[in-house]
Amino acid sequence: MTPTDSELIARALSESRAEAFGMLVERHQSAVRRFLRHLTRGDAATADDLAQETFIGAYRGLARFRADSRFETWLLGIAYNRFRSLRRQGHPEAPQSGAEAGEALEPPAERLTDLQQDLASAMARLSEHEQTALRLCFQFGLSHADIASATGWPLGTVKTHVARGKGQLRELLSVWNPKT
Amino acid sequence: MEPEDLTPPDEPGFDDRLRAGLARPALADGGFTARVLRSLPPRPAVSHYRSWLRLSWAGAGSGFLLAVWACSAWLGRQMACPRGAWPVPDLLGNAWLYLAFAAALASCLMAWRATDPAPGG
Repeated sequence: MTPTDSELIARALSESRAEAFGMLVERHQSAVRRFLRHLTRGDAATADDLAQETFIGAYRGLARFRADSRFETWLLGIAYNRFRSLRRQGHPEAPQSGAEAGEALEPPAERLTDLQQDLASAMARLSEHEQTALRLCFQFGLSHADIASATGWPLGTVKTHVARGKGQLRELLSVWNPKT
Repeated sequence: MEPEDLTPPDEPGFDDRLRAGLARPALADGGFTARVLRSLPPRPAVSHYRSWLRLSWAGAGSGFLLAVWACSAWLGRQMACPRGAWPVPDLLGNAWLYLAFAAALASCLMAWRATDPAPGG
């Protein structure tokens, strides 16, 4: 039987620390790296460096993890903080907010369906925070409370970003809606 | 106060399409896990061991301290009192006893500090 995250965390805190933590990394690396690729506008190298720092940070602070949210939510929160720190330091590879924030790049190797391409183009017109909130909600399956916990934004702000982002997408993608 | 819920009513069709449009296949590990495991900091020192070591030092130090106190008191009493009297310490009258007490306390503290982990270690 596949061990749950909680079981692996308990194991990682006692014996066979690296082995159990390795299983957690393997399980969650995709979500963390994907999220960071979105934040870094598709810069896979910077995203993977930040993901590595995220997991090292999680390893150091594993004892502080409280099971009041999912482990992945906690990891995405650490990842978001790492990205913000990088940007605060004025790292040239960390994109700034503003117009260019909308130009989220998809890795060229990935083939997107028409639906995904339409949505990617529409998402590029949203603000950085709206994109992040929508991705956390619809791509990573986080609740509004989880997004607030991961990003440090107030719950009302999260709801506003999601609602505004969805409203704009609805207009931009009105062809999806047969009623309009 | 709970912020007003600004989320419009769920639109199953639209939300499902958003989910489908944002869905991406899982990224292949491609050696990422191995890279993270290689860069993990070394396992921290076993804290139980340090705790027990500290407790042992504290116990030994306290025992030593008590022994010094009892011996000093008994000797002081022997010198000052008639043979056969119970050696009750006369702390106020024996300044040298305080010195012995301070020395024992200092040795105990030094032993405690000796077991402190090095900074960052």
